[in-house]
Amino acid sequence: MTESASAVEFASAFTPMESESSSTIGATIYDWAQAFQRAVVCMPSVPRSLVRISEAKLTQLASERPHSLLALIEKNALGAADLTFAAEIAGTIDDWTRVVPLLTRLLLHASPVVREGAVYGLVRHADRVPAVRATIRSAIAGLLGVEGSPGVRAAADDALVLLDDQL
Amino acid sequence: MKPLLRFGRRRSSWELDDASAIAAVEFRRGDGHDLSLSAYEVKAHDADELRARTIQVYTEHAASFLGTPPNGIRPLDLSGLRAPVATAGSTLFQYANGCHREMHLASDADLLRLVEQVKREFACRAMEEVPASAMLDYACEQLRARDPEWVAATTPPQNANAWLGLVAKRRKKATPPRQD
Repeated sequence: MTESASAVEFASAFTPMESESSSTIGATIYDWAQAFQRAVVCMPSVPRSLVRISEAKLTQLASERPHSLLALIEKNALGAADLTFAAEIAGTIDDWTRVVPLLTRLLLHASPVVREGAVYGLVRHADRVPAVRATIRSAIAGLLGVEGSPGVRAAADDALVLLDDQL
Repeated sequence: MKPLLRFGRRRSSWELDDASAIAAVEFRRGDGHDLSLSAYEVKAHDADELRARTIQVYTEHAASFLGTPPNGIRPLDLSGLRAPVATAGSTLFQYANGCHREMHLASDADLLRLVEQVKREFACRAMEEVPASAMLDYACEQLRARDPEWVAATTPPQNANAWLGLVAKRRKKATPPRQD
């Protein structure tokens, strides 16, 4: 993922559906306008400001507008401190066709806290979607082969124990 | 021994170089920083008892507050950094409530000083890893023993935390079928 994702492309993920109001996502329109502006009011060639978002809001997005949360992750709109929790929470979204490839890509992220969050997200997802447990196990086992961070390795070891328990 | 246990969010956080990056992960509240740090003061006679108590208090904390299964953790001992204040815990468990303490920090700058000190002293403040499976096993064992607090915590309407369903599945798997 790059920092130069198109602002127009990113904005489309946040266009409310006709049936939605600001209260649907439980935040004031002002909060969202601010986040939106920070995220997209820049030219593609200029480094983009990152959206700051609380875990409560990430959880609410996962529940009420899951594809918006996935878009935030896909478009690289979050800093590492938010992305680690976004990745974990994304694991609770049922759409495995988007969630598994996305979180698997995050296993290669430069920040160890993001890779660790992706491990937790994948384990959450395996709890919800048993059909993908073997795929997720394979991805996490693959990470262990190359992972240099002791913290991420511990998380991945832990994940394999939990997954093997379920398989 | 009487460590002041702080349960972190990510085991890799303290590998980051920048104190503000660590604080953004480990001490976040809403869009900002948490300046009232929650911790648990655990008394133990030896390492085995300390490990058992650590698993107990974190599992009780997780059953009370976490909507998802607890991740494995590497607790930190924050004792000696600031004076802890005994505050009534709001978990569903008497033991965890009795151990609960808070450390009140003056400002974001104070938090960053604390983070920098912990990072410098990480090797002696980081405690033994506690895997997620140990916490699920503990919860499972308490339910098997019909611990009244665990039974209450997992009985509607208290059992809002979906991860306790995992405990039930794990318990079922570990219990051999009855031979009638």
